[in-house]
Amino acid sequence: MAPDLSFLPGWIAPLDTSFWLAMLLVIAPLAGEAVFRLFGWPRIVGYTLVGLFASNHLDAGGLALSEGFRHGLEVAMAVLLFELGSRVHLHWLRDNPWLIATSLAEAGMTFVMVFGIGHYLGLGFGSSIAVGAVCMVSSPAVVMRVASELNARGQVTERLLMLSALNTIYAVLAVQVLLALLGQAHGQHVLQSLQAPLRYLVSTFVLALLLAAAVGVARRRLDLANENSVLLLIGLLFLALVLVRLAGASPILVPLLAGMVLRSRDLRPCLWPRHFGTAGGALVVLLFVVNGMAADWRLIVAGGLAGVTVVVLRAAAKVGGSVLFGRLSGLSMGQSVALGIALLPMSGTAFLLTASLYLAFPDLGRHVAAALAGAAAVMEIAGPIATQWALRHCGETNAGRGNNHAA
Amino acid sequence: MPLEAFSTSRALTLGVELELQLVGTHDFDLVAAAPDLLRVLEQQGFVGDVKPEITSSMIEIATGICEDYGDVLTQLTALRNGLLEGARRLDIGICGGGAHPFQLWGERQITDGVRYKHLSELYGYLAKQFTVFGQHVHIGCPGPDEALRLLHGMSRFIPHLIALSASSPFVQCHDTGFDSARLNSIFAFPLSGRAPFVLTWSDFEAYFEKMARTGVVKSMKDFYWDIRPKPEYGTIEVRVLDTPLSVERSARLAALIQTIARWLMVDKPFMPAEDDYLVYAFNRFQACRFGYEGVWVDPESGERHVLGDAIVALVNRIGPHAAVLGTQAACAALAHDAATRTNDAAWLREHYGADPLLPELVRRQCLRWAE
Repeated sequence: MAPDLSFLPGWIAPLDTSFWLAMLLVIAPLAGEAVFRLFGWPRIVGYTLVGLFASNHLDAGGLALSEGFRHGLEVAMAVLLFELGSRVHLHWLRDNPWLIATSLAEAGMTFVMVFGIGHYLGLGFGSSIAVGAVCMVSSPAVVMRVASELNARGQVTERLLMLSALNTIYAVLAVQVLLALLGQAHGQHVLQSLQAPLRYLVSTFVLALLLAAAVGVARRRLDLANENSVLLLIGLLFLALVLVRLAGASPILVPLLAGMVLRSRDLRPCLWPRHFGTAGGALVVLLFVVNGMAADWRLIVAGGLAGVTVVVLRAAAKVGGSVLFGRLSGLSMGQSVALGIALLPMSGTAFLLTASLYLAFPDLGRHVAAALAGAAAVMEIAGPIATQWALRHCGETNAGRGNNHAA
Repeated sequence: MPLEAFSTSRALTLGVELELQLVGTHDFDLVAAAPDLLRVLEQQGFVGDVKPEITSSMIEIATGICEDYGDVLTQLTALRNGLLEGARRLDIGICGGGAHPFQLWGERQITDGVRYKHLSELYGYLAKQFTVFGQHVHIGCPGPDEALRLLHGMSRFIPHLIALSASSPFVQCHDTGFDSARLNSIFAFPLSGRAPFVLTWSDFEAYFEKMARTGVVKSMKDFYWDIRPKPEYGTIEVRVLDTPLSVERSARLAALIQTIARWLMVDKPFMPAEDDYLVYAFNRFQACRFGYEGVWVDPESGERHVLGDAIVALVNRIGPHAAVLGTQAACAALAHDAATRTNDAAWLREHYGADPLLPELVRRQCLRWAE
């Protein structure tokens, strides 16, 4: 439904999507600045609130659906995932195996808890697994964005990025396993049901390696701190996403794994401007606005008790999992709790994951979406605030550093 | 607080303290990881002296009392291996070098603690600019008067030690042109520089009392001199060295200082004089700025030498004492470096020339320290 604009003079009538795009780009930064100045919240909370407001009061939905725009947002997501991947140091897992234990504990406990709720609420086996898998994810987009906005550095930050990357991978794999199981339940032969997930994983790994190799060549020849060279990175990510669509690979794992491969293979520090410069930054702002659009105030109310239960138990599992092996992995108690809290954001990826489920099994996707939407909508706003609070609390942010300035 | 009595220590025993950089392995900037590292070290049962420093991206390790070069090297290597084990669990890097090449001083965090808070309030931004990394070498002295005499004798060779240890050419993202830019941060402090020229402990006590009465100092810790007596340990402490890029070089420098000390104590080759200090600041500046190529003016004869050549001459002259102490190999290696004009500052400039990315340079410093 187009908004009723008949009160406007005729010459502005042909307001098209570019008008709404312009409006979002004007309003979102203002809202981001407003929540930052008024409440000291991360700016992305402002972007998300603009999205929430737009989806409920304006019909900017046409914008969100236009194909070119959606591809732009996928690039934004890929930028954040690639940035995250390139921060993950896999050697660390070898040097400190308790990190693997922490990761399995926080993700595993979250999965089991949420699966339990799903089961209790009468969702089917498949739907409960799907909800559990999706809830494992600590939104890599939110985590990466908040950490870089705060310029956070330190043990909690580094572990947060590591665990977020890992639980994203677990969730994507879990969904693939689920699809294989469901395929069998629908009467497919074992080999037949394994075919799609295997093809998916193989094409994902191949594309991730190709992307990593391409970026690796680029950074050997060009100074990636330079604005022009950084555009090349955005171009490569865009190209990779087009190939992902053609090959039916994972738009989440390809950039994430590519970043991880790059970091592990070549230890020379790779540093580029945050979000690949201004262009990437603008896309990231829009990504969070559209994330906000996908949520719906009414669902928070409708989700009601179930939504609240998911949020609370998920938080308990994340914090519990971090605390369980916190000391053994070398954190203090305070840092372990903060790490659990910092892991709370869920959003962006959750929707992408449900989308891929939805495409394969429309009925399943609907159940999952209904059960999750309430929790996800709450966490869209509360997640970034939780992460920011946790990182500040540990003194790992610029502002935290400021507080320690005695002179 | 009155000046404590000078403890006795066995002559020519030695001890080394190293201030080290803690860096992130993602961008290789300094990271405020000292509290994390100390906690992890405690968990792993680390044996050894390790302390926080004024900003939380620094850490200090110290050997116990060592007999000789071999002892220093063994102890430093063990300390290093323990630190690296803790650092690996935290995925942080540890490296030598007198200054971090691109850290911004404004981002440093002052370590919790009454003394550090006080220093930060007193010195303001200087306290954060004090994020520089030095090696201190203690030499045991049989008595306080001998300590003061050794201190003023050693002063003459401060430029030699600066050129040999210099490892801070890059500061705040730029090549400063200095081999040791670190010492410039220290000169900014009002109580830095040289100790007053007194040769008996009773005169030193009188000086300290006068200073304490003015309220300017409360303890020996308030003096940031290049060499200062440490009555608590019964040592003199040489403080001008930049932290070298490897523990091996740290041990060699300690061995050289021990050898010079033996020569001064046993041969008494010259009588220290107040006039030695006429050329002190000039010589020291030349060493910081130009390293081996700096001019060294002999305070006795007034002759001008190229510092690198003066170092070779010094090592030759103290050779018999190196033979007694077992430091020949260490001293010869340093003399070779001086002759070929290689030090850590040169290493850093060479590597930066090959790959002009400062984070990569710090990564290589970490690898070098772990070698």
